[in-house]
Amino acid sequence: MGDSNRLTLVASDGGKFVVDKEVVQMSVLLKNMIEDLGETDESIPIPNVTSPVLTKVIEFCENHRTDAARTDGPNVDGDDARMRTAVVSDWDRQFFDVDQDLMFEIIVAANYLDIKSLVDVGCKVVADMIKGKSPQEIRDLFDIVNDFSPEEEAALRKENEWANDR
Amino acid sequence: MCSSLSLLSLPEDLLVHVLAFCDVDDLFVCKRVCTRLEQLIRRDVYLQYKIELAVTGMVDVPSPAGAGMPVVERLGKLREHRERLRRGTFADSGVEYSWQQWPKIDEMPTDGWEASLAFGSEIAYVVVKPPQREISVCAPPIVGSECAESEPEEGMRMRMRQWRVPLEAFPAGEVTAVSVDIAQDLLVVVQPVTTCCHVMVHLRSLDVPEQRHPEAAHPVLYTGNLKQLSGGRPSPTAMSHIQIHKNLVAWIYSTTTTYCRNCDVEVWDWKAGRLLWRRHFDREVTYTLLDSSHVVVTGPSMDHLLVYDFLSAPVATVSEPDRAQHVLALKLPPSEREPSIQESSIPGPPTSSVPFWTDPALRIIVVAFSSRAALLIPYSTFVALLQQKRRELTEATYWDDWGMRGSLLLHLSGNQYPALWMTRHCYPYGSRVALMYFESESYFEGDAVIFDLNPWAARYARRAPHIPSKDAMYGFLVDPKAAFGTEWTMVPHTVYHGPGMSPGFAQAPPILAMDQGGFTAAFTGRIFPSRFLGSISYFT
Repeated sequence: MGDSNRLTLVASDGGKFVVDKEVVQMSVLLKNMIEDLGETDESIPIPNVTSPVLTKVIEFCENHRTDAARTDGPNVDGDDARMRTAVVSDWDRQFFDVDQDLMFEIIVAANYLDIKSLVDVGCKVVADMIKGKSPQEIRDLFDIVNDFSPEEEAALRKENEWANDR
Repeated sequence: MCSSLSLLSLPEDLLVHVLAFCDVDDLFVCKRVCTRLEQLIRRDVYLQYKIELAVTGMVDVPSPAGAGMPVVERLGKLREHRERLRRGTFADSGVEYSWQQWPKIDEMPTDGWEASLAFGSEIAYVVVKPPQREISVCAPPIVGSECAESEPEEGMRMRMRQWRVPLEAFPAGEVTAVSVDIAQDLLVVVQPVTTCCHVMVHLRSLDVPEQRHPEAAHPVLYTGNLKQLSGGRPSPTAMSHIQIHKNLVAWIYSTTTTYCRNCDVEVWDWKAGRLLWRRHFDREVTYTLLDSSHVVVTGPSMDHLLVYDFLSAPVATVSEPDRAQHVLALKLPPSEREPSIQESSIPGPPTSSVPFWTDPALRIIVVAFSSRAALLIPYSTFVALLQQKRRELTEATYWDDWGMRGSLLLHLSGNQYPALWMTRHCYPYGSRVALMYFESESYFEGDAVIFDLNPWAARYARRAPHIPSKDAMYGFLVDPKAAFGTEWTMVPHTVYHGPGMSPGFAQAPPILAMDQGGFTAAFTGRIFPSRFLGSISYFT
């Protein structure tokens, strides 16, 4: 304690994390909170996030602290390739190589803590999982129930006839 | 925090955020997964805009002003544009060089006007008028911009954008070729150097043609045939087929000798004033720029398309123009002769703020054949083949291995439809190209037919209410898909019926150049094909 550059975060299950303020500032929520609190030794409770999730979030922030100023999204050049789905770096991909529960929890926590880069990377990873799959493969992957009536399904298939190889 | 989270238990805004990163292909698939995703995609303005952009063959243009136009407003404009396209009603633009009723031979200029198309990021039409001492440039109105919509003075008419360049700005002599890229305010004017076999290429500002382009390192580029032609005296050289894409300008520089006609395809960086790449051919070729690093050329044996990578080519190829090696060789359909690549623009947004623009990724390359057949190749086919080719090198890919899946061959399939389709001088823009269908060999009366290879448009067209084609009105029956035997192809495509046209007796079939909102038909003489007679622009 007493180190003004570090502070303590407390997860919903009581787990304590001592982190650099600079790292914490990637979260807009915490950044505002720190500004409101001013110089204080008090630890900050994060009631919505469990320890395993908070561990991952801090890991991400520590890895990305240097590129905080990075502009978002690729520079769209247009003619050479369709750049609409953004590229996910190898580190980020590895970071999200966890089971689905944890992955979605990280995304929700990042959204709550307002860490834009982590929300974006998480959503891109999910979008990447969807990429190129058939409807049934997507249902299997995310455990989704097909709730279309047979008529609705037939109509939707007709609409998609050109993509019949999926 | 609840123990088991899944995709569907994400809050709606996060789910939309995920979907926003998905390709349009994947969005269409997601709509079929469950009702929740289907409704989410249908109701979210941003996702809907993304889908409808694809259906219309457009891409979003980030507004330079920052926040720019709200998505709802963009979507509104997009729907208006798409509705015009879908209705397929064409209106005469009333452009200066058009004649309301064809043919009015008396009014036609006979004083040596020369017309050409300019392939910049948007297509423009150039007419050099020596008697009037000017070059006039015009371009179609910009879809979705304020200026295109605020002038409803004469019914459906929209104003062409116009520029006048005095020939006095080029005192060195005759002007032999002109091209422009409006978005970059670039005017390219070619003049021969009379004392030797070289030409000079002026890089000027279109708005202030007396001044050099502010971004050009050198005001003039000089080029000429490096290869000493053996035998025969070189006759005047010609530069043609100029194309501009960002910092690139490409052209064919051809030299005719007593014995042969041969040409160099050159790619320059006009901003740096530097020759990037050159390939010599011992016969006439046609080419087009594929993107910022590739050109496609009709091979010397005329049964291939050759793709060259000019960016990673060794510098030595500039001084040894015979040496450049292609990265891809595609065999053309064996039944067709005399391929001719129709030049094309690589679409890019103009400088004025527009919400969306033609998607360059959806564009097509058109190869016309002598027998009134044509091959329409999506740019994506080249991209896929180039990626495959990284492994094995320059061996030719057989037609069966790429053409059937990757292109649309328009080939008149039987005697039922005699050879009345014109596929030459038909220039695409984005995913669309207009062809001409004539009732008889006199080419007196014809109809424009537009092929669109945007796969999303094809999907949409299947759902859209049937559009009665104008055949019913005119009493003759033509189903372009049946005529060309493309109804069973694997390549998704749509066909629209365009307006009818009646060129005069002395005229060749029109040159048809697509643009974003419609197309322009330029008429030339039948006996003197270079003589420009007039043009009509049509907008949907």
